[in-house]
Amino acid sequence: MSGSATAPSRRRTIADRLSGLATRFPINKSRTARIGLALTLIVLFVAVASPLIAPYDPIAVDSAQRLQPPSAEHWLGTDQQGRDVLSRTLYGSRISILSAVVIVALAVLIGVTAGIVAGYSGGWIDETLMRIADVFLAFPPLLLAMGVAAALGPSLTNAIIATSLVWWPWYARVARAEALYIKHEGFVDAARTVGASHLRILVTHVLPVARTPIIVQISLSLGAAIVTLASLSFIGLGAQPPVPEWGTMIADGRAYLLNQWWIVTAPGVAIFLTIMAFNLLGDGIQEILSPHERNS
Amino acid sequence: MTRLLEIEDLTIRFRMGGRDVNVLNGVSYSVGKNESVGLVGESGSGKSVTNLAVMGLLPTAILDRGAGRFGDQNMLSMSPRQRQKLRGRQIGMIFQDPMNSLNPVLKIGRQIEEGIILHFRISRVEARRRAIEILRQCELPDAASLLNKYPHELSGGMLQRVMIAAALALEPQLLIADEPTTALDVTVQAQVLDLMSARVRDAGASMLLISHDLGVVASVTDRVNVMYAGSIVETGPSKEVFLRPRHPYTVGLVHSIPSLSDDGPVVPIEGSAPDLSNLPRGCPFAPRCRWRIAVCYDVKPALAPVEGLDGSAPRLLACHNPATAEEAATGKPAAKPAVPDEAAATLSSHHSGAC
Amino acid sequence: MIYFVVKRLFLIVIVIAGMSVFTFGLTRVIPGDPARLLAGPEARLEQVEQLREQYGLNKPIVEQYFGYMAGLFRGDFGQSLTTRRPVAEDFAQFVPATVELTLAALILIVLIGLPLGFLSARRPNGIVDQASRLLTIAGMSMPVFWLGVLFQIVFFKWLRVLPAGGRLGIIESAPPHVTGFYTIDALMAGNMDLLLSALQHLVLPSFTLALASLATITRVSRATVIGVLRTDYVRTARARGLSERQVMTRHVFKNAMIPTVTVLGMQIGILLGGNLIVEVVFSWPGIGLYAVNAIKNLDFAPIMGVMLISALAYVMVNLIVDLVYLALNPRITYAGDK
Repeated sequence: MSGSATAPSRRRTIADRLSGLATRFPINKSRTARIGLALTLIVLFVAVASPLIAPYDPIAVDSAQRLQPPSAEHWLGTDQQGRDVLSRTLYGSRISILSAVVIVALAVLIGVTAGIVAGYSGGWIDETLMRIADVFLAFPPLLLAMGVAAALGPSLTNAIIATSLVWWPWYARVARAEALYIKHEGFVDAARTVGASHLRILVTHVLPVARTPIIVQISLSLGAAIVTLASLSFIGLGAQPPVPEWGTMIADGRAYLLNQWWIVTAPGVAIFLTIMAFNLLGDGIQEILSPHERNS
Repeated sequence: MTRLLEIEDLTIRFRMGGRDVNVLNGVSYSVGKNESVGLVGESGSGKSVTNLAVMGLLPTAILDRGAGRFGDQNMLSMSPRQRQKLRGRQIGMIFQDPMNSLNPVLKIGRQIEEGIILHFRISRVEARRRAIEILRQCELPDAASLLNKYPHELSGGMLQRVMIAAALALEPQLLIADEPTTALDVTVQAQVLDLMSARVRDAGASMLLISHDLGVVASVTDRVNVMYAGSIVETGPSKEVFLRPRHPYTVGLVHSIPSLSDDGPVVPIEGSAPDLSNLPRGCPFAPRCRWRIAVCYDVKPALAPVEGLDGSAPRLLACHNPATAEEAATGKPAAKPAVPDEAAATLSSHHSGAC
Repeated sequence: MIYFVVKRLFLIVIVIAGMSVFTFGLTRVIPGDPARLLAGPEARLEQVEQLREQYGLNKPIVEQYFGYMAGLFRGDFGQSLTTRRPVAEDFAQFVPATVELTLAALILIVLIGLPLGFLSARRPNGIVDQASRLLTIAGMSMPVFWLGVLFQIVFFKWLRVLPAGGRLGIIESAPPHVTGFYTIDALMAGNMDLLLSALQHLVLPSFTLALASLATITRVSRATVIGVLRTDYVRTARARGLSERQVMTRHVFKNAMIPTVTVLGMQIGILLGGNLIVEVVFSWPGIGLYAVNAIKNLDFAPIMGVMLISALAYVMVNLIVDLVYLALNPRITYAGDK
């Protein structure tokens, strides 16, 4: 593909797609969605730009500056090892968001695959997969994540794997419902008579229809993934020090709660704002897709 | 002579999505004592809204002008509390889908008795007795055990009879029935209608029957009002209006019903219902009317007395160019519409996607 | 109806079996030699081998699983390395504290969440509605541990009105054991000071635990009530002459309760997980704190025991919720009655 000849046309199609998206998702219809989107974009920006905007290295220890209150040099003070709280909080957003994306991606991958295969195949494949999903669903979510993370060993990676194991059944259920619906419509049979293979049918017919409810579920899951991950880190099973993950920071900072309250407050407020951003966005999307919910 | 229910120049709109939807435009009709009146129109004509608004069951409706008098009290200027006292006891209402009109998690008996106890302040035992009595009058078998059943255990026809019984048990002076048979099987419709009108008559009460089916209404009512797009277009004695309609819309209604006795073709009314948020100047039926003349697009016809056909009684009509007796019989105008179709096309572009 | 219950119980058994395989599998996934972990770092080789014999750790894995299951049926959850006691004994000590906390949270959710939802629905976009919507968003966006810490800062450090943790003050001792619930036991012993102290200590943890679920329940009951208020049968009731208040109490309440109850069941699962966090934050000596301590020491028997017990409780609660739903709603017929 030659350079300049294709570049303008590619740019145009991206702009086209964006405006197409905007008409399908009239973001102006919901104030909640607008606020949520704005906050989310801020959070994403911080996450991406943190290496540029953070004033200090988040893991650099400075014993001389231990437990300093917020000041001109350290806007949010320092923690028990002299590390700049602001920088650590900013970097924390990277970790949380990246991890959340991986968690949701894994859960969607496993869950949607299992779900559409189960729904489409029916019979014992369906039964078995659904029983397995039921076993996972029978555990209170955090306990399940805790058990798996404990078994695998305390680390951020293992916490991510453990959390995605908690979410996949939800996606499986949603995907399966859509697959079942499709199966009972005529065009699957029509495709079969023309000789399409099962895989082809799954990808070209079933998947696109299942798309919409999955997207809504994803927007709501991201916030929940961040919480679960932070909770795991809080009890010691996720990110290990000195990694600046919000949950770990709050856990470590608890000992200094009484006098150096800023150590826990900064990551706490950060996590609250981030989750609220995702929740508002998810709520807003739901409002747009089904507007009758909120009206009197 | 005070009429029981007098609706006078009622004009109501709703605000939806930033636009005004004019559901009623100067509607006037009345129901007298011991009278049975019909209100006919298609969906969107405003036939249900009139009564719901007057009874206070449409809190979001905006009243522009008009009155809804019961006896000599204007219900629209009453406090909600006063209106609530009238509901059920003076004016009873029955709605379209009996399966959804009853609370699915409560027994039928409880729901009937609740109204009786509320309005008559008698004991539960006495209320039960009255409930059984009225159920029996409404031709429902095994009334006592019926009271212990849940709504989903009965058929649509039986449920509607239950609704009639429940309403009549409160001894109202006026019973308003809004499409009572539309959701029922055809075989059951006639029975329920006859039962209702008979019981209402026996009780010395009046009935207002609302329906889209002119045939149904004509058979059980004394007078009928035909509505279109929020206005009354024709009023008169029921049989007369049915046999000799004068308003083009009524003509269309009569001839769009297939009938066993009439071999003539079914003539549908062309076009679709108008957009109530964007009503044209002039007669709302003009774009679809085959009797239209030039003035129909400019001036909205007022409801005025007009001579009946072939010696029939005079009636009220809102039309600049009503049908003649022959046209009424065939359903077709003698001549093509005087206004050419391009005018219609230009004007119908005012209506933005009415479907 | 009996058929439905039997079918559900059968499914539950299958799920529990699956769960036990899962938890058992987890214990064997951990890196390291279970016998060595059991023996401790200072043990000599013979001691490790002896333990291996004693706990049957040299048998094939399937046999080990059945041995584990047999133990579970006897009530034997294994031994805790940290407390050096049978896990079952630890449970007996710690479970009542957790149950007391969970029940307190549940009471709060029902007593606050439901009325709030109802009031919000009666006047949508009114003051109550806007306020509770704000509360909802905040509640759902707060991770439980952060909320607990925040409460500690506000009520303990700044306002100095409530204690920061524990079930009782440091110098106070527990009331004579009847139920294991300090509140009830203190009441039964007639010790009002102790009762007050127990309640004070219960306030913050139970509120923290309740808040997130409170938000959900308020939302759900609001949405349900709005839906019910739009139905035809409510219109009929109004047409019959009932006042708004009568309509609410006689028709709306019961109908709106039914879906709300199901959501309540789901919340219990969330509570069982949040328990863990709250107990850590407030040093509440329940099985959550017990499990977390066990994690720090890689002590697996307690972890698995807690997981199984919680999961069992969750499954049972959901079954009860479904049965309650069936009892309240005469319309639903399960498994092909229609």
